[in-house]
Amino acid sequence: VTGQVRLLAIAALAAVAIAGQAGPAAAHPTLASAVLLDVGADAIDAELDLPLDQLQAAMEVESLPLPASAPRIRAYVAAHLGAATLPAQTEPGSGDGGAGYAVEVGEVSARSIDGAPHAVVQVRLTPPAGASTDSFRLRDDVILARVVSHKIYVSLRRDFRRGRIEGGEASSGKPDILGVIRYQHDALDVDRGGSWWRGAAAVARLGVNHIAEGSDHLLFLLVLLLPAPLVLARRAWSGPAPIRRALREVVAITAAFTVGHSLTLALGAVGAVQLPGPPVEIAIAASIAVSAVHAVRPLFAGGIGRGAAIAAGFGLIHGLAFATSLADLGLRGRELGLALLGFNLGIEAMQLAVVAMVIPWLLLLARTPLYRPLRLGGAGVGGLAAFGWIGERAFGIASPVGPAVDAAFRHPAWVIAPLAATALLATAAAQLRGGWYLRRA
Amino acid sequence: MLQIGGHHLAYNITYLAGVGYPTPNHIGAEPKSSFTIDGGTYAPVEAEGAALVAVYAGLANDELDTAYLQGQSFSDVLVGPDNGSGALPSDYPTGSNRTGALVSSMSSEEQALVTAAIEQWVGDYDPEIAEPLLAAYTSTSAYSDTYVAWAGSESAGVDPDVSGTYMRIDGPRLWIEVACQSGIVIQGQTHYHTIFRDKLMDYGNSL
Repeated sequence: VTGQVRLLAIAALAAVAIAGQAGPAAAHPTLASAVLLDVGADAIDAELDLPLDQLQAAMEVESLPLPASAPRIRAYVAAHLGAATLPAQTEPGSGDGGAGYAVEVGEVSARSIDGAPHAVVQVRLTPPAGASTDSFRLRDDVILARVVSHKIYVSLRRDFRRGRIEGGEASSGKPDILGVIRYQHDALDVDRGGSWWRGAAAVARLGVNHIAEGSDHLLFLLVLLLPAPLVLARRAWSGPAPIRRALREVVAITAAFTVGHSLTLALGAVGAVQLPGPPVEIAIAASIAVSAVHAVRPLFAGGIGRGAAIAAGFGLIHGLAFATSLADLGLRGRELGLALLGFNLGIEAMQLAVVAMVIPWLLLLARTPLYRPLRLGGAGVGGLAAFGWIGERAFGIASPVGPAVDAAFRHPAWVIAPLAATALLATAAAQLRGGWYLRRA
Repeated sequence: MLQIGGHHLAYNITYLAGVGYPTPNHIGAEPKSSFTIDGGTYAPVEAEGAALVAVYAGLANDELDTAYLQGQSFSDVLVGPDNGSGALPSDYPTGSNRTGALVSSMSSEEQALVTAAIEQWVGDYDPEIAEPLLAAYTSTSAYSDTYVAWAGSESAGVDPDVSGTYMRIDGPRLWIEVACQSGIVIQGQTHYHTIFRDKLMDYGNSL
């Protein structure tokens, strides 16, 4: 902890120093470099943010126009950046370290950072066979080799075991600063620490958020659950089913949805199944339309399992969408396995929480005359949302439907509180009138 | 400890058992020459810069060559405000990296110019603080381990009006750097970033 605090202090000091040097109406005269590490199980992807004027001074050239100078910059970076395994017993940061990593310098692009032109260089560092990325020595004298006053801030941007799961451009929040490479300190030892569980927990949170924010998944399930407390009579939804049977149906539908989306989530995340995003998104919107139709009039005759079949079938499609967001994290091997588990548990937990918050009121309402308008109204909302999303996703027609549904899901209390109040009042009224509830009980 | 900080400014004056230590001290100034505000004329580091430039002007050509830091360039001072780790800086040059013109090998006239430059920095403080430090920094034994060095455009020489010109005195305790940077507020003119440190007694060595 002391180390971290100290590093933050360095960063704060440096920020003050850098900011302090900037005049009120001018660019920064002296800028530091940043190295942002996305650490994976098999390789480390580094982004080098190099202030162009400093790079020019270091390479002793007057200008470095991009993309023309990309090959020169690539060669320069390849000669000045490296990583190695940490030898068991040496001075921290001293020497070249143990076995060297393979260095692969990739894309070089121009980017303005804090108003100053930078060359942004992507580098992949791959450990030697048998070595892990758990700890390593980063050696970097890019710019520093000549501009000895230069400072290089090294941070972790993505590290599964630190719970930093979203690297690259999607990375949010401040990166973890690992240290400052500078004159007399041109290597930095990185011992990542953290644990696999922190990563899994972070992915579980991502799963929870995905469901909480991805209102289309929940809307599909909720609309599909609308007729679950009812019995079928002559190919139409009729009166309330016995509680046990209704609960069995709820469990069957929820479980079927889980099985369906878990299957394609796993297949998609390991890359066995890959479908382009837009058709999947459109199919998800269509699945809500199907569940809305089913809530109005049963799509399949027969007993238990009618909703479960729809849930399982369309669950397969929803799982493909989950897989996309997991595949974007670029995880492999053990990280991917844990992420799958964590992400799915997060999704299930959130899904169960929502079902648990809604179903009791549906079971109560199913025993009142209000349930028919509620079911049809819910189906109507589902159908409207489905068509709004299909229009948006298939034809690019903007509509207020998606944002409206999203807003409702962001404030679940606005939906659940009136639902609960209605359920309680309607049940009380039905009790007084000696309605269905008493007769069936 | 008395700390005064601001843009281009860091005074850290530590008193230990009645003894004052004025380092680390960071001053930058733009313009580097004198300027007038509200009728007052100020020149925070003009004399310091001029005294240091005079040291190089007094060196023979071969001494200037020896003092030149080949293969190194400086966008700023090296051991600046951002080296900090809560401990004394660990990024001074060491061993064979300590290069430059050795003061004890210079003529007495040249040595006098070095002493005059050091006085410009240390002399800002009360004699009770300044005199013991000056004695320590300019002693015969100190000068046998004190290097004067510079960097920047080799063809332009030690010209403070050229961006990238860098001057430094590196002793067993004393560390003075002046880096000339392009103008920020006043375009087309360089300005100074300076640092004055004591390798052993920054913050009274009481951090």
